[in-house]
Amino acid sequence: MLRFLTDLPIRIIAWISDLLEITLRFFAGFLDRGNFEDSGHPVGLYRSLNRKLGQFFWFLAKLISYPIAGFFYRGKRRQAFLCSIPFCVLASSVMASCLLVAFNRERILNRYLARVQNAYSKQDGPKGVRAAMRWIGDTEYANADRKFLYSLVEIQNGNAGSAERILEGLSPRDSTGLGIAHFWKASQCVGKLEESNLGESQRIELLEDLDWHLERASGVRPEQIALLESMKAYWDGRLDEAESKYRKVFESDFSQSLGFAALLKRLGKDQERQAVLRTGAERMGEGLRSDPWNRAYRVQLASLYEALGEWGRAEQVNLEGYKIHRDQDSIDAYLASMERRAEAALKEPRDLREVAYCLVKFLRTSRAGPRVQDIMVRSLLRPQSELLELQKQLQQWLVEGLDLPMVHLSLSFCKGLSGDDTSRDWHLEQACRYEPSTLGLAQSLIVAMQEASKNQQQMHERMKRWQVLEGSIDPKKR
Amino acid sequence: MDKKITIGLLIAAVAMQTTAIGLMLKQIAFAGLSMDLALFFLAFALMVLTGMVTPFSRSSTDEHPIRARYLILFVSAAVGTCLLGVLSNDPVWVFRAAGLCFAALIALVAGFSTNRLFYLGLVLCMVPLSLWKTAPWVHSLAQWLASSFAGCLLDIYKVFYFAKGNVIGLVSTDFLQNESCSGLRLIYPMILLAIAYGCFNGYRFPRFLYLLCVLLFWAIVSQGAWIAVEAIMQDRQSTKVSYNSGTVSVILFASVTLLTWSGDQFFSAFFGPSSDKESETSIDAKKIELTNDKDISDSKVPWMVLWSMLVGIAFLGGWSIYKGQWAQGLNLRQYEAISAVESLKLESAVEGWKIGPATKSTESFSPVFRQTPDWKHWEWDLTPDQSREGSMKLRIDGIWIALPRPDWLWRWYGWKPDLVLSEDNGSFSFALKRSIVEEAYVVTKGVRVVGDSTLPGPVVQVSLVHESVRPITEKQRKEHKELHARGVEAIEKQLDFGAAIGDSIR
Repeated sequence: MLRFLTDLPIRIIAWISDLLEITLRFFAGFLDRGNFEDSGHPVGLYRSLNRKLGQFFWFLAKLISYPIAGFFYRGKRRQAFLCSIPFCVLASSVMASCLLVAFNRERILNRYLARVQNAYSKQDGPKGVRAAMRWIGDTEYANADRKFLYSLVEIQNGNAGSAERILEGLSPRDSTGLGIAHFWKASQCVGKLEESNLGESQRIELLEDLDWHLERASGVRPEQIALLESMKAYWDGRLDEAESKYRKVFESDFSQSLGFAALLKRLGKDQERQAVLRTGAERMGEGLRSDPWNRAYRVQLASLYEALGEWGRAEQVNLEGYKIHRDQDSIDAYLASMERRAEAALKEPRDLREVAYCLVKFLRTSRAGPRVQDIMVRSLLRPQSELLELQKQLQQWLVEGLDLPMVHLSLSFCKGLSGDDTSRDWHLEQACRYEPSTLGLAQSLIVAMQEASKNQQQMHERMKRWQVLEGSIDPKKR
Repeated sequence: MDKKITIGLLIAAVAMQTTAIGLMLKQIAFAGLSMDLALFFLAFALMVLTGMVTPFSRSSTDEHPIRARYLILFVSAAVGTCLLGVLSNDPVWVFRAAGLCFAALIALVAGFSTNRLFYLGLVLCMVPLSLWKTAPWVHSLAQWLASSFAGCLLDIYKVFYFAKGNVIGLVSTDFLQNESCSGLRLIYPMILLAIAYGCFNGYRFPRFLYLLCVLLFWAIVSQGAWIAVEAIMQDRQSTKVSYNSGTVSVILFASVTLLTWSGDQFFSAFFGPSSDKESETSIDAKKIELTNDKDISDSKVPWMVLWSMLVGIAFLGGWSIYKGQWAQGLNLRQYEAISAVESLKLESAVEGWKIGPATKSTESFSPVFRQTPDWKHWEWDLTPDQSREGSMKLRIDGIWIALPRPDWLWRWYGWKPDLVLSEDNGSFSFALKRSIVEEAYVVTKGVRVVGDSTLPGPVVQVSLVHESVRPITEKQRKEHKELHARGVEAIEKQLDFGAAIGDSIR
């Protein structure tokens, strides 16, 4: 049955030789047309074109065989051939390198894409943007996902405007766009809805926008989309639906406690809000105990304590973070929390015990910086009765043993502004005895307070007559 | 007799254009292009010498005197350029027409061939090459090709880069390779050399065209290779790597010349006869062909046409002299104009904008096609007060003898025009786009350093640029134009010292 296989190799060889012959005949036909020995005879258009084609094939054949044929030239032509070698070799290399790059274009661009991803993960925005510039203008290569990556590195590079423009381009109103860009746009709509000065028509337009983008949002966790849906329900006036949707998210993810608490506050459910915050804080605390290096948990926990008004605990969480991380981020987190605490204390009705505490803490951490000067102005340049109350609170902190040099310094300023020059100098002396460097701090703060109290004549005069000279206080004398 | 009349008329045609020639030479002297001029004279002298002196005239045996029809063709080109110059008020074209006539004159007197006439004409048209308005465009295209090739090499070498139009920047550094991407270096002497070489060898037009193409190819490739080498040296270095640009230019020049010559050898080897014997036969055949080819000298009509055209050129020259078209003098030196621009003082604040010298200017370069050796770039930042959005840059570029297209600089850095260029009282305004988020709006004007505003002359380009990530609104554009007009007015007031010095530059 398979006997025909025995002569198959011979048949294959015969087929190949036939094919070769046909090919050669075909090309020979072309080359033959280039044989223009009969060029003197007038020819028609077709014949002329045919001849040109043949000449072109001859030219190609000559060009291809040139590297070998050249060695058989003689005389001046051979000399010219040898001199043309640098030209031929280098020109071929130039062509080859261009072709190499052209054929590997996608692979090369992928290399750049990987470089952008790498820069993004290392938060090196400028480098990421520069690497992305190689492909961002290439409409074929820069698809929506890659443009989104570009927007992320632009944010890292500090160009939020560029990033926003790209995201807007990725979340159009007339075509599909990118899910995550629609999510971004939807959250932007929610943010705009929070603004109180919106007219009714604007609100309706924003709600329509929110609806459009929310329908197309994807590429994020379902909980994140559910949050926006809940907010949409809230702005649509479906309050129960908003609460139930948010509650579902909260139950599966306790990091949403703050947002849920904010919604409950809007709905006027303060008791439930407190309960949510407490539950969230407990869960976050548990999470932080199992993973103390987790910054996100720490920030969340501190914020939850702040929302509950438990500033001491929030401070403790931030201080603990500083002890663990020992970096600028943790310092910034601590100071930002303290600032919020000071703002809360300075809000009417003022909590002067807290104000005194913040003043002392800021004097310790920020020395004579603008932050301290601002708090001193807002807490000390006040009516006499309030100043006296603040002094009482500072005295109390003195008794409780809080940072003695800074409390004495604060008291010194209080006394100075209320006109009690003897106590003022005594407190400053005490502060300097505990910590001699306090003198320099006091001098710069006095200058700042003299400048700030210009609008309050009596206090300005009191500050003006306060002169602290180097060496006027003996730190050893107790 | 015909020849004598033609020579006489050619002398008259050239002589009648002396005012325009003088003006052009003064412009070249003002521009300080002495090196270019010296090279040109050298190439011209070489070509005339090789035509006249026997030991050099290798191809004289193959050559035959110019025919009237070629002279007509040549002179008609001169008539065209002369008309263009007179009508467009541009002495460069008149100068070229005079150059063509002068080439014809020399060829007739010395008995040169048509081939040599072509080369002489070409060289004489090349004199004010650097003043060509097309130079930015030509350099831009060539630089783009060179930068693209440099990109290929960098990709092969795995150095990460990006391109802003014609200029390459490295991912590892935060500045652009402005210096190496500022146009094709030494292209003028290279082209002169190619013309002289073609003339010396008596190449016909197709062969010369091939030579020119090979030269441009290697000029672009070598420039690209140098950009790549510089980028490789610069990669991962935080500060700019310094090098001697003079040495680099010499190396590039030598390699381009060598490779062009090698390319010419390729032509000889590829199309040449397969043996010396065959070569001799082909020359004989050519000689026979040449002797058989007859001139049309019997008829008077071509000569009459030629003479009437020459009379026309002479008449145009006379008309220009009568009208005083090119009569203005040039009594200003370049350094005076530069010091006038350098002594410009801008106000520190204008209507809600603070003006201060630019601290970082990435898109600024000194182009190789500049028209003065002391070409400068000044830039100021306009920072808005709280009530305004965005930031602007005021920049002054120059000095130009003939200002190129108003948007040349931005096109160089890859900006694409978004709207049509619009002109309003000499100021051009246009919107630009780049990548997917960069938008810009530019208002620019060529402000004369001195004198007469009706004629081309030394100008500085004063531009107000607003870059943004959002499209610039109509209101912003209007405000932008007003601000630019105020700035230009202030600058013009300070630069208006022409009256004190005397005549204007043209």
